Amino acid sequence: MADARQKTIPPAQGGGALIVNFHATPLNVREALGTLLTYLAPLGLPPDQRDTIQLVLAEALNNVTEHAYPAGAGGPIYLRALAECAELTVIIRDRGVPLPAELILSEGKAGRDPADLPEGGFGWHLIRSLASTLDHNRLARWNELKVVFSLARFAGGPACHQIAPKPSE
Amino acid sequence: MQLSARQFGPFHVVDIAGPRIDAAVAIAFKDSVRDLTDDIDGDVILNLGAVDFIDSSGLGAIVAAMKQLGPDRRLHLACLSPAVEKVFRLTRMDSVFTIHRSLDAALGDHGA
Repeated sequence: MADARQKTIPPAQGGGALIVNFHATPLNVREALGTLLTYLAPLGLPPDQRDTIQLVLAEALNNVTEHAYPAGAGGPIYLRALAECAELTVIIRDRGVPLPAELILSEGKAGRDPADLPEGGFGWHLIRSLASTLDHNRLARWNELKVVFSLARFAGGPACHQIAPKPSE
Repeated sequence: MQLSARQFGPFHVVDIAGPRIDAAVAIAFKDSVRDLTDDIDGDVILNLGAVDFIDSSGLGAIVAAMKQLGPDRRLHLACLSPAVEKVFRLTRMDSVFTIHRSLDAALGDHGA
């Protein structure tokens, strides 16, 4: 079972972060996505943006389940989400095998002949197409993926004018 | 996830009851489509009207289902929600499948 650390899911609008720890299985990924959508619900995001967030994070979490823990025994996934200042920042960590950089950076397979059509390899293409910012790091024993979404019509969260603007990147 | 098939003239409509075709059900989905279409002839229309989420595993399962039909039978898709349509568009799989706005349109295109 996906185990939300908090007993009740804090609404994103209050400025709190959502932390979910769970064992890497497809059903737990589904449940964690449901928890995240509940967290985001008070923001009243446009459906298209909500769909995008769910899709990107589904691909990222499925990727951990299938590739970071290839032996099938799974392992821990840590997910932290924070909606703040017109951005949703999600950090996903796992203790699995290091991800090959080319998996993240390369364009996916693109077979067009129906006989050659890939049945996989779409995931990173979708993530790269839809995430505003994507950052992958190998920490000591962790893979860490940071995904940032710009929330165009974001109306909640703490008063962002009180936070010093970040230097331009 | 529950799938069922209905015959309309020369082809079959496969209805999907579940709201998600994701990694948790992708293999079961592919097997169910095969079981429903194995011993019938003609094109198959996948009715995605009840599906509001699909991930790349689900997309792969639909591609696999198309391949299972073999070279002489086509797999059509009908009633894609915006979220499902987006996945097909971004992966350019919308150019591989014939996609119909509604079931009526899919049936009409085939003179049924």
